[in-house]
Amino acid sequence: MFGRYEGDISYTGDDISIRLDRSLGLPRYERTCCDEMVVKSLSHFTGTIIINPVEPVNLPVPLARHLEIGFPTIALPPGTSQTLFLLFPLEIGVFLVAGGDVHVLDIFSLSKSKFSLYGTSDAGVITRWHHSEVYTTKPDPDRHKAGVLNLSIRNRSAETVEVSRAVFDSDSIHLFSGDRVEMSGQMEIFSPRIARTDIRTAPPMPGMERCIEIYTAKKIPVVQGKGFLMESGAA
Amino acid sequence: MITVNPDAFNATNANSLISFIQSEKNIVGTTTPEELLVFSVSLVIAYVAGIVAAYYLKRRFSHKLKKDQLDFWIKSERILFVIAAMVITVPPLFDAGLEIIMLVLLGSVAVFALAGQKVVANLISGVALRYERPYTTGDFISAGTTFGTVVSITLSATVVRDTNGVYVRIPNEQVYVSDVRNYHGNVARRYDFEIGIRYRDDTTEAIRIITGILDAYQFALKHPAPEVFVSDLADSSVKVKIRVWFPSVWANTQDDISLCTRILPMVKSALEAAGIQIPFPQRELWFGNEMVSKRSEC
Repeated sequence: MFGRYEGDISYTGDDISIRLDRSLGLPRYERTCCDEMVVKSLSHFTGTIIINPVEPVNLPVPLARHLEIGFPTIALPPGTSQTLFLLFPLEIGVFLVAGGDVHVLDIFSLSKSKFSLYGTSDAGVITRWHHSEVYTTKPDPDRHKAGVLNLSIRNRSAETVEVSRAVFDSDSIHLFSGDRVEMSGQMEIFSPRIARTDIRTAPPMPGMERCIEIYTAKKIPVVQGKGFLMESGAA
Repeated sequence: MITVNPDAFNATNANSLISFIQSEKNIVGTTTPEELLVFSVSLVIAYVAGIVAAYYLKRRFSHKLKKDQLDFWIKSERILFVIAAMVITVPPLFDAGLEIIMLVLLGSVAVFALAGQKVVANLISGVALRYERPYTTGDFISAGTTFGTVVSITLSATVVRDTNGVYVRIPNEQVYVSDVRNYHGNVARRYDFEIGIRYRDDTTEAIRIITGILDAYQFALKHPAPEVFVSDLADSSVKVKIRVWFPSVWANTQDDISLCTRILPMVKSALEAAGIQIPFPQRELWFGNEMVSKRSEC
């Protein structure tokens, strides 16, 4: 389903149906997914449709700007590193590229969303929450439902730290599509209360294609490379 | 350097003053018609430049700044343009005479002192509110007896659209001295509900069902976790209390209508499906002596 479409689209999966018929007077986009149907007519459309996974913070309404992944607790002795694989939920973006503009035509998801609060109600952030098991080898999830996060955790503190969640700023999320949808991130732990997370801009595997982010399509300026400072702990 | 033309104040009567003003060169003091023209034209240019700059600011920053912040910067730049025009062109006009300027200033102060006590109080409160920023546009607040969404904040008043869609203008002085609650001030808020079930129903099962509903409901925050517990053994029912946190942005109203219309019906349906009922108020009456009724037969 992911890819670029210059002509008509006709995709029917287990839970998704997407159609684009350009032969009509007004080209018509139809999407059926999760008991929801979206129909849009496109005026004089001669551009390209791109379907790719996007950062999972837009549905059902854009309440959160952070993705929080909870996982079974891992204890890291001081000065050690650990690389593990986690799953994160996916949202799928349909983009209309025409006349030098990238327009977000549709966003939908096969995974259920859940929100959480990281930190206190007065100084914390609302996050899109997801629970994942911890994998030591790369898992192979349904690429329409979940992606794989390759997370490198490094404990720079002088004490053993328990880690059970990672929070990422959605502005720093860079997804890459191949056989799976992947991103690679890092977490540096400075103390039991403070850690910094970030997502790398390089593809996790050679040959993977970078996905268009929602913030890029909406021309929202973001500061790259600042990551997110977890000041309420990682346990 | 201000130079005062003594000729401007030598006019001893109205006729000589008028003839002096209408003289070929001077209007008042050494001020010439050209200087007045430059002053007027510069004000017009400053006004137009302010509009152009405001248009640019709106286009460039409307999606980055909140409306009140953008309005503040637009007003500021327009005032700055006018001040700049006056600073550039007014010095020659000072020749009109310090007395005139002093008279204008004193008159303004007098007008403010007599008629503008409330206005000044509102302005000072407006400055204090801008500094403290207890709310911003788009927030749902209660101030005194008014509930609504803040539409704009000016130096003199806060404009609120209440839940009935009515435009309400609250003077800033009134806002400043009253209790202000900002339902949007923190990112998450806790809501409390209470449900009564019959004494014969299993409270553990009821708590399990309600917790399951909240876990499945996407807007009920995972952390802090919802709390469901027996809060009271009341006259007619066992009270089960629900404490659940939601994102403030989503539930941005005081009456929590979005929660009541979504969560409570789900809880009621699930409890009834499990055979747990919400009882009517009821009372058992016990009589100390057995009632005896006699029937007389004719």
